[in-house]
Amino acid sequence: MIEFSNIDIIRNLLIATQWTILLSLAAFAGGITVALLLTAARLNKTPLLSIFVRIYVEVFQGTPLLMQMFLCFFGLSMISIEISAWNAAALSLTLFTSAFLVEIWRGCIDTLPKGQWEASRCLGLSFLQTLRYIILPQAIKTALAPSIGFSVQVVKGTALASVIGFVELTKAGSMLNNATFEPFKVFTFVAIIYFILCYPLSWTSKFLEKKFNASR
Amino acid sequence: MPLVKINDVHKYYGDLHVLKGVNLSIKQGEVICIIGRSGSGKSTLLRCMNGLEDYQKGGITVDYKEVTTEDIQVKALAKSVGMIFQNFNLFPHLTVGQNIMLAPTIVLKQSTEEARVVAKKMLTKVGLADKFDSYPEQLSGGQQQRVAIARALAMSPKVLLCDEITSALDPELVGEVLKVVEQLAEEGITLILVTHEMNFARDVSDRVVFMNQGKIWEEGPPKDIFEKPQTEELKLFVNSVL
Amino acid sequence: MLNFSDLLPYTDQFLKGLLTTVELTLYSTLLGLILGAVLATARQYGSSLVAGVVSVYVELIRNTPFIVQLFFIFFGLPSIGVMLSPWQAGMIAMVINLAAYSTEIIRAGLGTTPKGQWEAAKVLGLSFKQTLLRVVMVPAVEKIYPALTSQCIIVMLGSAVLSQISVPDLTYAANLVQSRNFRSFESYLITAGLYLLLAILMRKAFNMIGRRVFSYRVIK
Ligand SMILES: Nc1ncnc2c1ncn2[C@@H]1O[C@H](COP(=O)(O)OP(=O)(O)OP(=O)(O)O)[C@@H](O)[C@H]1O
Ligand SMILES: [Mg+2]
Repeated sequence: MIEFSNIDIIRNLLIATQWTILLSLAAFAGGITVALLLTAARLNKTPLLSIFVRIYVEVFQGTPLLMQMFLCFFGLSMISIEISAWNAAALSLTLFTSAFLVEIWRGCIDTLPKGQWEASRCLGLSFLQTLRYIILPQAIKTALAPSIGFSVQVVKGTALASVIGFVELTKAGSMLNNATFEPFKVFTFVAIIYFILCYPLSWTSKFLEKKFNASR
Repeated sequence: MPLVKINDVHKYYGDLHVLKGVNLSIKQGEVICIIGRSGSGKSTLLRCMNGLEDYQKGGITVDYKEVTTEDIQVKALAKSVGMIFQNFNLFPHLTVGQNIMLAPTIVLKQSTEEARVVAKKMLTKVGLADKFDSYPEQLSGGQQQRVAIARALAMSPKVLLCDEITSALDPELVGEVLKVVEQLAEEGITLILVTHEMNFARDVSDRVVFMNQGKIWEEGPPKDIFEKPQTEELKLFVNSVL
Repeated sequence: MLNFSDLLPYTDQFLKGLLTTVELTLYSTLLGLILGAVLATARQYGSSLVAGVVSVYVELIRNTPFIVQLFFIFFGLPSIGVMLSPWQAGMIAMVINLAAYSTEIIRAGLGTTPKGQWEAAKVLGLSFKQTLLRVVMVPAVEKIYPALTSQCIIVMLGSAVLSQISVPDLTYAANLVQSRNFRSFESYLITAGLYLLLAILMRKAFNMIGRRVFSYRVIK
């Protein structure tokens, strides 16, 4: 058996942390993109589209992220697309993230006065122009804090990619545990690294929320 | 052909019959005041004229364009019809200048320079030339409403629709807004105002339209309407507000 | 192609797993909310030391993944002499998780209590505990009830991870079934559907309870 010093354990964990960060970034970027599209679809007056978004949100908020990951992993490989654990994890996290973001943003957008839409319409702005120049710039201010707050859930959500075999921080922790038989130490390190990743995001979110509330 | 032609318009909110066959023609340069009790359909009629609300029967044309709620139609109408709201609806995240320049640049495709010149001119007209870089929140209600007027004017509309534009203002700020509107009337822009300011209606308008129960109950020159009301309903209304 | 008939022989497994998940959810929701209410009170009205300790706990839980907490409890604690069955470890993980989130949520509710409520209770001679339980708590919880509901559902859904330490829950059943009949996608699809049903029913149940408890709102 190979001997692992604390330094070795931490070094290995940090290497895996890079993948946790990368996966988080991919999921968050993907989630934002999809959520933007869904938001546009929801606000559009076509009833079918907004019903679709409602169901989408219900399904992805109402089922375990782990199940979504399994379904992406096994579902896509069933229709004979060879899918890597990375792809399945990134895809499912993107869908999961977008479902929550679209709902968070809905709150922010729907609290804007209806008059903002009407004034824009009277001035001849198209739907997308109204979104781009009038609605989003205002909604972003209120959406920033809760969105960053949710990014903590995304980082933590990446831990589930370990279950489908993607070697990120949690998986690396499990592997090191199997090699060292020092679960207490290893998982303490793992937890500390997650905390270091997540806490600044939580803090920023709270700070922005306070700042925003104070400015009103 | 009249600038605005409203022909037997009916409007329902679900089962509620709000407009029951409205007919109205408005010539270029006319100043029309619409008066009537709360719930008589004044706002609804105004909002039908630029496609904010749809109607179920009849037809409306403004500046040779048929009014519908389709996006293309509303966009085309925005070049002929401006609207001022009771609660201003300025965009709070944009400066006064940006509020005014937004639509001319992205809808009329004016260059920024061009739009800036127009914006400054309109602001001067409403007496707020020094507020170009202020944010709406830094202004009083009366000033905000004047900015809203400048914003609408920057699109050089032929008709301006005003829905109780002084109702949300403190009494001492009403005058400054009405003065601007009066000045516009003199310049010959077509104005359609829903208003509770009866003195203003009497002094400034060419024609007063009294709405009741979703219909145009009585219309005529302000003198006739206020001094020789024909119908019982208008008599009651005039007595209650004067 | 999809083939669900291969799942039929395993109905029992699914039902047993479902039952375990429901059971775990029921207990952990009750315990988690009670603990959350206690900690929220401590955080809001306790000494700064107590409040500090509570917020360290809350931040630690909220900023680390559930699965890591679970592994720490199940694999880590035995090495310092705390042996737990998978079920116990899972249960504890769910409770501390929900407690941490509900502490934060309930505290926000307590923060909205108008000062006048405390003053009115005081001049009527009510003690701190009486005021808290009989005057302040219910309206405070009412304010944040939707957020609390969502959080309980999130914890229920999160319990799917318990299968990783062999708690025989719904996800565990799905894993088992798909390893036998190789119908992974179908197994997980059905399971996801069951979770969705559970989430919807849970929300309904919370709404029903809410209407009862907060009925003073409806009467007016
Ligand atoms: N969005 C809506 N949905 C349903 N009914 C509406 C809606 N908007 C207006 N109504 C109804 O239509 C009728 C006419 O309303 P409208 O706003 O046109 O009246 P108004 O003459 O402008 O009154 P006010 O002087 O109070 O502004 C009222 O009975 C009102 O309740
Ligand atoms: Mg009105």
